[in-house]
Amino acid sequence: MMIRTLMTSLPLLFGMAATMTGCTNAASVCAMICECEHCNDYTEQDICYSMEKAEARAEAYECGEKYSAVLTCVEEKGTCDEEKVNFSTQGPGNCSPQANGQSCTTDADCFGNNPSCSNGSCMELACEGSFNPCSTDADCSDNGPDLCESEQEALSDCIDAASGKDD
Amino acid sequence: MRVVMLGVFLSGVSVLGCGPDIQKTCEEQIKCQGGNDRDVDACVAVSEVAIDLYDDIGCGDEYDDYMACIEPLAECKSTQTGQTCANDSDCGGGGDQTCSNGNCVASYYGVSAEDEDKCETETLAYAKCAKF
Repeated sequence: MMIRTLMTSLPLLFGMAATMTGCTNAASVCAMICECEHCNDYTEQDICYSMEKAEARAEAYECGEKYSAVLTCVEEKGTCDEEKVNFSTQGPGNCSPQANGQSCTTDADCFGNNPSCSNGSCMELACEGSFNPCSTDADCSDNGPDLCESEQEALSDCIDAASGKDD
Repeated sequence: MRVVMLGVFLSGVSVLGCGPDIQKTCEEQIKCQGGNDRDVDACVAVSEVAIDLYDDIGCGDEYDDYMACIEPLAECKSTQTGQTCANDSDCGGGGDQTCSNGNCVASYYGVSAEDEDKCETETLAYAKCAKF
């Protein structure tokens, strides 16, 4: 479902908010997402509503600037995968040698995908973050980092600091 | 014990005085589950957005009826999670749990399962209108 896709792609965006009247960033991001994902009216309303709630929440904790930073990041770094009909802030993946937990003295001691021995540890080509075997960065397109992670963390930290809840 | 979490539904309260009393409900919810004045403010702010939405989609009356029915039934409930503890930090649950007499206790503000049926008509009307 579209909403589920979005919540995966933009986890923290949902939970903040943007007033329809006046917050051009939120309205703009909402439109970008829905243009990409071909939302129907109901879904678009749901997405925009979630963003409005998120903004209202952020402002209540006096974290509106942090929320705006998230929106700006999403606006600037979000991309539309037209094949998957998915809007996301996920960056490109990275296929590189990852330690697989085996120890070694030579390459011959190692097994796996294109294995090698480096400083006593076996390495094999895998997607950074997921350890899925890969040959090129393109094989890791589903495992890239969230390009707005730092903005989202800053927002979460701001809300956590203001909140009296323990979580 | 299964309860309907009010936070999810806590959407509407007419600022002008008609409809549910969001401020009071949010205060009760935060008092039950823990938090400070800003948590209450956030609860109210998010709820007001929800009220606006239901008004926008033509379900304001259904929502008001639903909240009017369910609000008086909501109360703070505590239940042991089954996890043992020495202090609050041993208990998870996102800050809604405390350690009491060696047992983790979760607190929820909501409606007990046995009371859910009392608002069935309002719930169905509201859900049908909002297409849940």
